[in-house]
Amino acid sequence: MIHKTKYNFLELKNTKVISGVVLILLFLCFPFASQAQLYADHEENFAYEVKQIDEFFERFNNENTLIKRYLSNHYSQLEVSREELLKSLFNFQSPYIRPEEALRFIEQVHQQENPLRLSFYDDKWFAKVKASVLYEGKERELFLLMSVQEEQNGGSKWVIEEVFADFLLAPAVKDSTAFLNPMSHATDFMGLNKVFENPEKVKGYLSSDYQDDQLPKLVMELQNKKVSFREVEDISYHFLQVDGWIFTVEDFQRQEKNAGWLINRLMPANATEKKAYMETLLQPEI
Amino acid sequence: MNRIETNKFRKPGGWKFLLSGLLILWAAFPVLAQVEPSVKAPTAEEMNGEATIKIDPELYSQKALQKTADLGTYLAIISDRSNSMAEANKAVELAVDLFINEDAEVEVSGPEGRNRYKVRAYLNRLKLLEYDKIEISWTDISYVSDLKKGTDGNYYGVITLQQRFKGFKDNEVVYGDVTEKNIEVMVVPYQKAADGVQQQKWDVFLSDVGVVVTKFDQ
Repeated sequence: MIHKTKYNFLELKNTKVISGVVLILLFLCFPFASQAQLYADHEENFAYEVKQIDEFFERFNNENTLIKRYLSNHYSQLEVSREELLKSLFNFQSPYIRPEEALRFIEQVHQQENPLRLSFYDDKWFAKVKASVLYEGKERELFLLMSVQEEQNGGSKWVIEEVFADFLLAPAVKDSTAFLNPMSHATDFMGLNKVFENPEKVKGYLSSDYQDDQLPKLVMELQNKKVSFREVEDISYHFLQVDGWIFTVEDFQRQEKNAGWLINRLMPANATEKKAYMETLLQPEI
Repeated sequence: MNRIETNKFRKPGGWKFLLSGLLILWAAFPVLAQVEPSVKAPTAEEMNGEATIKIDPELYSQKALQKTADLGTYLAIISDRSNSMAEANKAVELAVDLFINEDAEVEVSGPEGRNRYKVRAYLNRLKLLEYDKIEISWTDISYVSDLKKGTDGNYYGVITLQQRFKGFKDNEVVYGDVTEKNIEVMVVPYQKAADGVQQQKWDVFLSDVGVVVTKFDQ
């Protein structure tokens, strides 16, 4: 969960434009890096840190958020614009973000005519949670895709949309004899007993359209008390509601002002690409 | 959508921390006498999950931070070996009353990793710490989130703050750290009859306490 990647923006492929953009980004973060004593003060770092995803939303939307009030109280000459707040929400050490795309994204979000705001209750953002569980006594990984669901009484809650775990996968069939031959009907399908006797080969007896839906399986394993929770190991938030973009937010715990929940990946994406992204989101490597 | 705006930049009463800390050093009992016992969480009959309530964001913030401050005070009393068992037990009960119920969990971090304890078990463990006494204080800056209404009609928020911990043995600091913590809070609306009239009330209770990270050893 704690990211220690150090990757200098300046190591990105250099063009004059990119170098200029990087310098602008660094310059605009000047209030955060200008005085050595600020850096040493862990309490100030705490003020700068994006401590909750809620605080991320507040800064993104330029609300009356903690950092603005802190700066106003301590450095009254500083005025923080929305543009600067948006820039501060990026992980400056991310190897996945191109500065020119970041600036284009910010420009789109911050357009004067129709500035974009994120809502906690949007339906196109998700939490991907990596959890450690015990399955039949052994420690295993479980990935959960979660979203916010609103209820009629005005309340809301987090819900599990999908799960992925290798222990919930139906095993791939390696035995070419595990199938019901085309004349099985002639013996009133008595060969069905093989399906129940060899559950590890069940896929051989299923339609090729069968999709491994793991959530019902998890529910069943929970009811059978075969799975118990240990802890959450990692969380990332995936935002797909900004037109033309996907970005992910992760937690960076470090003794710097650029810390906390920050945008670590930003990619242009159309509707088709967003759909494809969702289909692979729960795969462990994302 | 029910959203409650809150003032996120709150100082949790710095002078109150200092005063409480000094009193802990000199005499625990006067601190117990001065700290007002919390109101217990309302009963199921008193709760009114569907009622529309107005929660003043400033007041919510103040109450939430005050309860957090009270928790720190009780933790110090519980773990101070100079206090009697009766005083420590009383502080345990007062601390439990700060929480929505005894199912709330407190996460702690240590060399072996993280563990979670139900609140009463956590508080009782404090009596077994190796220190003669501890000091717990919260740094001045805290983040108080907006409240969000849950499907049960209660409102949920979080306070993120930094806890300074010092463990003393023979009046010397033998361990110190700063830990960033998330304290889930619940605002519970309920109705109370007073003079035959049903009044809409609400109160703030602590819920799960999670560790974000232990920042550094002092």
